[in-house]
Amino acid sequence: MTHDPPAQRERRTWRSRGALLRDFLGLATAGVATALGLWLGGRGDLTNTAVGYLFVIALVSMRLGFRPAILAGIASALCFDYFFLPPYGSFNIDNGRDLVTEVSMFGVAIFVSTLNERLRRQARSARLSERRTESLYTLVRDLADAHSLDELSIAGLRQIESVAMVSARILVRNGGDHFKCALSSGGRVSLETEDVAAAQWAAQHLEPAGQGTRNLSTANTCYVPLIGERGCIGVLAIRSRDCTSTAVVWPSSLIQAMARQLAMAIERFWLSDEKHIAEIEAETERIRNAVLSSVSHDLRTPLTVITSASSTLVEHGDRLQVAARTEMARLINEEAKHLSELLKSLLDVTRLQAGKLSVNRDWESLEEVVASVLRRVDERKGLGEWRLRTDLQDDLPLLEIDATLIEQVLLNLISNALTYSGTDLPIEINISSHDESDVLVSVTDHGKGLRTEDLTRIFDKFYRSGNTPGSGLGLGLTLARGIVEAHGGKIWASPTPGGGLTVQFTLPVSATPMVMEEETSEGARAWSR
Amino acid sequence: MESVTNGTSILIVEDDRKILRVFLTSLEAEGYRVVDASSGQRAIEEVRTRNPDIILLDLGLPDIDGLDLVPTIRAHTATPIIVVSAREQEADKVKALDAGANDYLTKPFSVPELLARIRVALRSHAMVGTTPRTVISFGDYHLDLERRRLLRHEQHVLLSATEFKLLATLARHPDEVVTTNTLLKEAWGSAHQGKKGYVRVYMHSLRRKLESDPTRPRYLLNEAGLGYRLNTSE
Repeated sequence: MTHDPPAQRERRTWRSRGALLRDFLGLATAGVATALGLWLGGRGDLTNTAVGYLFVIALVSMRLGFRPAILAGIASALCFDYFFLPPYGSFNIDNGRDLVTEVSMFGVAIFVSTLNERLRRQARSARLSERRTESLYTLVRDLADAHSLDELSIAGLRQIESVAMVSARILVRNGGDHFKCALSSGGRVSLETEDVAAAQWAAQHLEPAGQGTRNLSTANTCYVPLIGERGCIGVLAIRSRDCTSTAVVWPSSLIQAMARQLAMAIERFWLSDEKHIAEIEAETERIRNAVLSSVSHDLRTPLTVITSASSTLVEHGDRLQVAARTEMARLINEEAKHLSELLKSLLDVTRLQAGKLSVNRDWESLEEVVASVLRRVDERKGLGEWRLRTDLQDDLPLLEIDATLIEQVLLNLISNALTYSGTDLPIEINISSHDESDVLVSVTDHGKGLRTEDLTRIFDKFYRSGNTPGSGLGLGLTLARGIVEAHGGKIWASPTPGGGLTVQFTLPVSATPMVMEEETSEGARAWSR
Repeated sequence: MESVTNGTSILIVEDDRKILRVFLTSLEAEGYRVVDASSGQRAIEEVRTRNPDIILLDLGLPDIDGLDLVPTIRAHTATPIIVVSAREQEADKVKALDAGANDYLTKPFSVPELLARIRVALRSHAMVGTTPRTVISFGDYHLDLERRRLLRHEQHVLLSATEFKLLATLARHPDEVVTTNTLLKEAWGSAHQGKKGYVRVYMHSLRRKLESDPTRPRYLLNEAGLGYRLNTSE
């Protein structure tokens, strides 16, 4: 980093004040050592005094740093010369032996101080890089835990804020040159407070811009581009936490490293999103193919009957007996109805799949829904009343449901039950308040039933159990499940005790029951009197 | 049958030629005079110039939304309208009925179904203008609108005011579907729009009083998502 930001300058003045104090302490220590030497050993004990000075210098270099140690060394050498070497009270040195003592003492002082200083620098840089590694590690871990893009951005911002002691935001690019939204560690925020020009400069030049940088430094925020594999995906905005302070933020190498991690994480998230969409498309494609093959087979059968019967009527109608003509017409009619039902269920499931099945809820009575279903089944199949037995609890609550859709569910369940049980076995429809929050509907038949492993699979699309006598598309139960779940209910199948299949579903009772006003007073009296 | 339908004119508003052909063939075989219109604009002209006895209106038209056509025709004539809709237009059916249509049919439907609906609509229309019937009978019941009572085998059936209003509203349009909104308005007034639950609660108690098996009602039939129909043909 070649910038020389104002904040760094400010820190230096701070440092110099502390350094002065330490220098003074270094000098003072030399003074104290001299006084101690004079008091304890006196002028004769040169060896011990010299060792004492060296000890003190080593101590200063360890505790106070390189410069105070050098100063203490110089001061010690001068004091040693002045107080302990003859002639006393002068800086002159008489003999060569004393000069060697003096010089070697000073040399050892410098040597010890240099060694100590180097050690301290290594320790400091080790501490710094440890802190840096730890912040980056925490950031990466938090980013990996995120489940959504917002969560990820917020986790990243929190980490950057706590490490760099700044307030940070992410400006997300909209694919083009503009920004579509801003995220802070608290969620979405407005873009208005941002210096968009500086942010755009940073995004376009892939270089930090704004406060604390060489580019557009008048901005009140520092903008660091978030650079991923595919270029700039957004900009990290950092500013001082306290708006009133004069403290200036600048993009330290740690912040830039964190920005890189964040950019990569965001990009990874985008990629996995795209992968997810691709998977859904593949699944849709698979379903479409299954629909096509199933539809072409199941629709062809009734179409074949209709085509051949109608062409017989067209070509040979006049040569046929009346009974035969009627039979042909009846076949056409039946197969057309069948075709219509197949198409209807196919359309419903397609709409359900596309999420376009709209649920129009209103207060409805299940009794009416059942009545309507029974009427439709009777009309269509001409069944005797004994085939479909109903048992409805008398005081069922009204439910907020889509009556048309629930009618469809019941119709599908009953059609299934009729198809899979013999012609002379009844089907039972029971509805009761399951508990306070649910109404339970069951449709029970006494047919052959299903194998246990099929009990859950029957709700799958196009699933038909092996011994299917009819020719449905296998969509009835899929649709039923879709509708019941859209209502907030559950549907499941279980064996009927003694043989057969029971399909049950729940419908939730509304938390806020319908409130009815009392009848008007005029109406309280019965009319028939 | 010939004498009933002879000379009765039906306007079919339908843009599909094939469907139209089938209707033409089967309705003419029944003795109806059939006029057709393939667009909403044509339909309005035909209503003005020919004054048909009944209108069969498809909601999916090329030029005008069939739904908008109902009030336009209603402004001009009281001729019964039977709305024909595809299944995707469930919500439109209710709107059409509330706008003044008399009945509906959902595609695909059979010709006997169509003929039955036409007969009901014509019968109830024939009563318009004549002194309204004051006693309507269905099954064992006789509903006396004037004296406000319901008799069964000469026995009074005790009804609350609201129950009576609901039954009377249905009985004024026997065998025709009456929407839940109309029932609400008639029995509670327009201040209670949207509270369909009210109707459900009172229909429930009506069924308890009138039907021997409320889950297989013979008279008070409901049409899911639409409304109710009083069946007088049993």
